[in-house]
Amino acid sequence: MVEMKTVFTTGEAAKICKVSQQTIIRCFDSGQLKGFRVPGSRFRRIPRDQLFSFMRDNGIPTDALESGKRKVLIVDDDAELVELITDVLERDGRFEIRTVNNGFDAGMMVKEYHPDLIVLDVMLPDINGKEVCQRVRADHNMDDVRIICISGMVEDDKIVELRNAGANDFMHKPFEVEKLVERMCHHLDIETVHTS
Amino acid sequence: VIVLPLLVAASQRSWLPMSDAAAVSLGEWFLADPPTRSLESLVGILQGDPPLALWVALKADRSGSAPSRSLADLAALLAEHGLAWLPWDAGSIDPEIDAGLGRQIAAQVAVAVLISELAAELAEVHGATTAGQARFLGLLHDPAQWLAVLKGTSSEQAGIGPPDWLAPRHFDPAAHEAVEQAICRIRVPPRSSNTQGVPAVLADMPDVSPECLERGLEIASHWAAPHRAARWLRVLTAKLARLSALEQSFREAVEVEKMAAMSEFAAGAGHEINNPLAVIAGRAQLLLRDETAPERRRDLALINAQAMRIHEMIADLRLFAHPPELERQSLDLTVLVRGLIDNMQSLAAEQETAMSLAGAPGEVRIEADPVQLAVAIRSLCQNALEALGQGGRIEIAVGSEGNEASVAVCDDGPGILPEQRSRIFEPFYSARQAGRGVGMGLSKCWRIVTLHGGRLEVDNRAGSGAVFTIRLPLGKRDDDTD
Repeated sequence: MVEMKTVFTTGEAAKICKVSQQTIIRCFDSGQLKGFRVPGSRFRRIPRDQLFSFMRDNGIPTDALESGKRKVLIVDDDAELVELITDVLERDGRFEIRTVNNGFDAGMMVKEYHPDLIVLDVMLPDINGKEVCQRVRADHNMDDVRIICISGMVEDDKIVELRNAGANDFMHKPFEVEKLVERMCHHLDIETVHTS
Repeated sequence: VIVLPLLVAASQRSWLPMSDAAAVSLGEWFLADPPTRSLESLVGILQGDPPLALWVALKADRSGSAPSRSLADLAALLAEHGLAWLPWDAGSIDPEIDAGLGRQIAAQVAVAVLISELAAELAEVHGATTAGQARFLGLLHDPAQWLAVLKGTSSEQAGIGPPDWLAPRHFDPAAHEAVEQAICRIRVPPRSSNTQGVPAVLADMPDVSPECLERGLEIASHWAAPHRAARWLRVLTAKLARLSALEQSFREAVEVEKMAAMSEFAAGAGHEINNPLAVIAGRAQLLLRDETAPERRRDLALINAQAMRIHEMIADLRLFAHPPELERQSLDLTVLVRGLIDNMQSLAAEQETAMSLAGAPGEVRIEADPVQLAVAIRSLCQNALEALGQGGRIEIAVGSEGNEASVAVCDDGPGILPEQRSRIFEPFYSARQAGRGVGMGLSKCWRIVTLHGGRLEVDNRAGSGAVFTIRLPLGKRDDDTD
């Protein structure tokens, strides 16, 4: 079973509240958001219950904190591959998963679901991955959405194009499933090693 | 016959004027330009009494009174329409009835056109009365032969080969000059810079078919005085060499097309195959996580590893399809090869193969990507090692010739069968019987060498073994000091 996180960094708190890290730091320093500093350093830490009351007091939806799960959208037209990634993430337990199999649905779902991270196949039947990246990045409400592209056949120059279009990372198919989870954790600022 | 030129064409008899003056006057009238004589009337005369018409035309042309129509015009006219105009007895040369005979006569007329062109050229060089025109008259002095040629009554003897009257005895040295110039005018298409243009090359081929040039050579040899022949032959040899170069570039264009098609396939297949591979590998990894039985763990790891192996092959193919950009720099090929041999020495020693540089080559400077070129040469060495299996000897020769540098990797293993040679650079073409060309090594080499603007050649050595030769354009040497 998933172990509930009890203490958060300002970065993690910012992600959960969907505000900037600066805002969290300001609230922390002004005393609106209670917490402590790591002994011997100036690093701020916020206990779970303090974060919860801060969110409730300020009208921030608390479901992200309640479930403690990060929202992931998987976009790939290969059903078996979607199933594989879903399986891997479900076993991990820290992710809430939705899946679509084309670029158009991906665009709709990003708006509706506002995922923390998208696992995006580059070769989709309709809109290609690069365009999906551009569309997500065109909406500034989606600035915090991380995108990991995956593809079976992408040349180096195409990877640069994807990054320019707003992708945060890229992985070749086939990939080590653990590597994928590792990279996702890295981009979501959560612990890499997770024992389920 | 010489005294009284009488021509008999089937049932028709033609009496030709003995008097030169009469013939010349008639000829001038015959050849005069419109409005005195229109083309139609000229045709009419030709149809009415062809031997007479031709006889007086030749006489007039020789007389030097410069009729406005030249013999060349007449010959061209005959070549184009002559067959249809000539009123020989129905049936005997009707082209529709006897197409073969028609072609034969047309061929002879075409030869006549060539000769009249030469005559015209001679006229320019030597003034009015020329050896070339005299030759035409010489022809008329043997009317039976002439008729046989034109009418084809003795087509068997006449054949399509050079007629007897083209024999050297009719020529003076000036004629040789003219023939040589005519040969120079044989059209050869310019070298196509676009190797993709296979159809264009094909379209140009008929004009310079080897038969055509060989025929030219044959005719030329009939006419050639020995000291002249050398020059003609040089010109013809050059043209034939150009032709064979064209054929070679056509073969190369086909090769390039074939490899391009494979690259396309590689790019497409890569994407399709990697998806299921990702599922196979991923599922095996997931199962492996929970598996404790050692036997099954090993099997699952194997499934994963083999799926990844396929992926690597695909990656190789993709590299072949879309290789990285070359990073060229000036380098000494000899140094590169020496380094490579040192590097591979231990690998060769493992299978007791002697690997060495042939001779003591000096500096061979080229513009190339040192990393990729090393990969190319290395794959040739690896191919040789695989072919030898155990023992044997590999010699690598570096050199330059003309504007090309070369690296030749020779081994004394099994050679390459003719049927393998055309396919040996194809990705994954497996010539396992010979132990060569397995996997991507040779394809990779071919690709890199081609990118460098070079060629990769394969040949068997006399005795046994194979030699793969990389040929690269030599770099510009700024400090060139003879």
